[in-house]
Amino acid sequence: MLTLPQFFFIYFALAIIFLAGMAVNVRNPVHSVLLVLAMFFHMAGVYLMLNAEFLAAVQVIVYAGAVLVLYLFVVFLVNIKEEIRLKRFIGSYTTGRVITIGMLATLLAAAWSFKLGPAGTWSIEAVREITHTRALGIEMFSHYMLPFEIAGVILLVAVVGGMALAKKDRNRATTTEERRALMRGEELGE
Amino acid sequence: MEERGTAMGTGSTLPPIIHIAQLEKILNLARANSLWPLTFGLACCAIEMMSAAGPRFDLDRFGAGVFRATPRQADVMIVAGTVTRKMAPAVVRLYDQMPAPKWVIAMGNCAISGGPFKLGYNYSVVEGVDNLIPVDVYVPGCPPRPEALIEAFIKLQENLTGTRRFPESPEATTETA
Amino acid sequence: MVIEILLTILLIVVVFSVIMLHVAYATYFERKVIGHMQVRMGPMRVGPHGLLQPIADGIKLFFKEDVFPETADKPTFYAAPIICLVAALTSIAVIPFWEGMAISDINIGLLFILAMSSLAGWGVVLAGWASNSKYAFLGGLRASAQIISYEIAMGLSIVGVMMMAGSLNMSEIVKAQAQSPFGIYAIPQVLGFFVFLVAMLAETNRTPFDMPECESELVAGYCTEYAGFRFALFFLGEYVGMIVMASVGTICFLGGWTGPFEVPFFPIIWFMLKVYFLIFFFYWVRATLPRYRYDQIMALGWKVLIPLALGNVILTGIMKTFVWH
Repeated sequence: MLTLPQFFFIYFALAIIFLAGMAVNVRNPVHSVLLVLAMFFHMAGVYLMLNAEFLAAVQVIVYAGAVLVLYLFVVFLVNIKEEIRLKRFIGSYTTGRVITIGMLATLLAAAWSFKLGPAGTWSIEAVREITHTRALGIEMFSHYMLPFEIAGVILLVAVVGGMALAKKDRNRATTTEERRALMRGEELGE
Repeated sequence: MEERGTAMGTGSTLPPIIHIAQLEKILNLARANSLWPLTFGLACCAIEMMSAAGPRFDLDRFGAGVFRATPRQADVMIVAGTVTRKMAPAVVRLYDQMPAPKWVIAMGNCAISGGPFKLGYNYSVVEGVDNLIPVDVYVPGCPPRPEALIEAFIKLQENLTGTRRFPESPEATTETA
Repeated sequence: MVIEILLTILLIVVVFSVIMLHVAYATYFERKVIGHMQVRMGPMRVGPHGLLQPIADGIKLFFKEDVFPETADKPTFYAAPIICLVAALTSIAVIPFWEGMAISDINIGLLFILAMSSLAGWGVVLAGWASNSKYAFLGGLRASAQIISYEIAMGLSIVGVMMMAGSLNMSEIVKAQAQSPFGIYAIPQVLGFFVFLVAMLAETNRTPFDMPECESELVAGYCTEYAGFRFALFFLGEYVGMIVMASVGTICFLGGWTGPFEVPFFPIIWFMLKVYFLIFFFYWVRATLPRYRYDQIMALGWKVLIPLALGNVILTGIMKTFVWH
């Protein structure tokens, strides 16, 4: 008979597979984003079952709450009515199916030859005792300090790049007075 | 003050097949005490409507203080001001967007019959909003005092529940129909 | 085992009905408080002093015609208010009302509430899009941009509290406040409290940040096309969100259930009074301040609140490492 944790794991796993499959199959891109949202919640559930409650909460806050909302903004900019009317994206069915089945076979072969790696330094009881948040913090800021800082620098590069792309061009006229000043031959001083 | 119209505002739904008297009484009581107006101030009568919602003649006492900006959440449409021919399709569209049960109060002479603009050479004013939508309560005046608008709400509530909230004043009972 | 489950279900039902009653009367008190601040009386005629007003509103909204725009997206249109309400109500489960009394006292209580408030933002943007009307869509986009911006500020303002308490568990945070002056964290964490109060107003789409909400007469807002009971669901979700935010504020900054003296048989009294005070603060700000413009909202969130909250985190870190134990 199934124990409760096993039952929940089977439910989460099947739901993730089903939702991900549906997300690439529905016509409306907004519906597909909603299905991905539901899938992220189930992934958070799987994290919970691995004693990683901090990761589960962060998954929902960052991934489902912020990243996916920005995905949704981009989807809104696409003309949905055109998308829904298209019959299919790739010309022939056979090419798509061959590529998909090939990728599936590769993934299954890789999953079958999966070997468990060496165990970490923390046992489950130790993590449960001092809560996953604290364990994660201790590991991240002592043994994995360098990767943490590198990740921070990468994010900083992204933020600075975003600001540089969106900066206001000082030599372009945006108001009527500025255009008139440009036509008169003056420089735009701000 | 005249009144016309039914207790149930006309809507796009069919009337219920089964009527349960007690339930209808409670429903009408609830609807009467929670009439949410649609802010549809068109002209000068809108000032009197705003003043009726203000501190001196508080309309919120009767439950009608939550003015909603969207017709989908409003119960009663107070047509306050002159309805021009250009505005007429908007009035009809807003009325259609309101969910049943809904009521209309025509406030001011312009909304009742065109008011001071009802002349031979009038080319732009719709002479009375009841040419466009069914009206339940008419409030005459140019503009009517805020107390008259409150009386309109009390009349509407009396229409719904059957009993009047405050006794009428002796002068009002000597009206000629 | 079965008895435990039944008791938990009973607890959930009791807490749910108490919260719903609070929400209904929160709408009544809002009209009364704002009315009195504007030198007028709020609802007075519907029952003694207007006490039956929320019941009349509720019955009326429930029996309205169900309007559905023809070109709207049916499943998303139906799901959006439910998402808002579910997100707000689920957060109630982790709030401890008094010592040892929370439906589920989990170790990441604060993060769970932040996660659920992210989900509430989803309901808003879906409502805006599903209505298929340009005003609703704009309102929904603005609301979601505002929510994700102020989520960062709110999270950062709570980080100071987390650092001082050393835990994310709500009960632990309340117990750890016993060492602060007056037993509240609002005094050492003044900056954090200020940022939290402002971010709390923005997260629940209340004035002065209610640009995208239905109250705005400028753009009709994300719940334009919702009528009757669906609108009531949004309304309920907003007020439950207010109660949740006020509860988080009392637990993190005002000392939770602790009070100057013990009241027998009614351990929830201090928590309740503090939550009522914060809800009164919501109404007070609504009656007083005008609405912010959208670009001002964004500028405030990113350029003022986030640096202040980050400064608070750094200050707390320095104080904790060098000055206090």
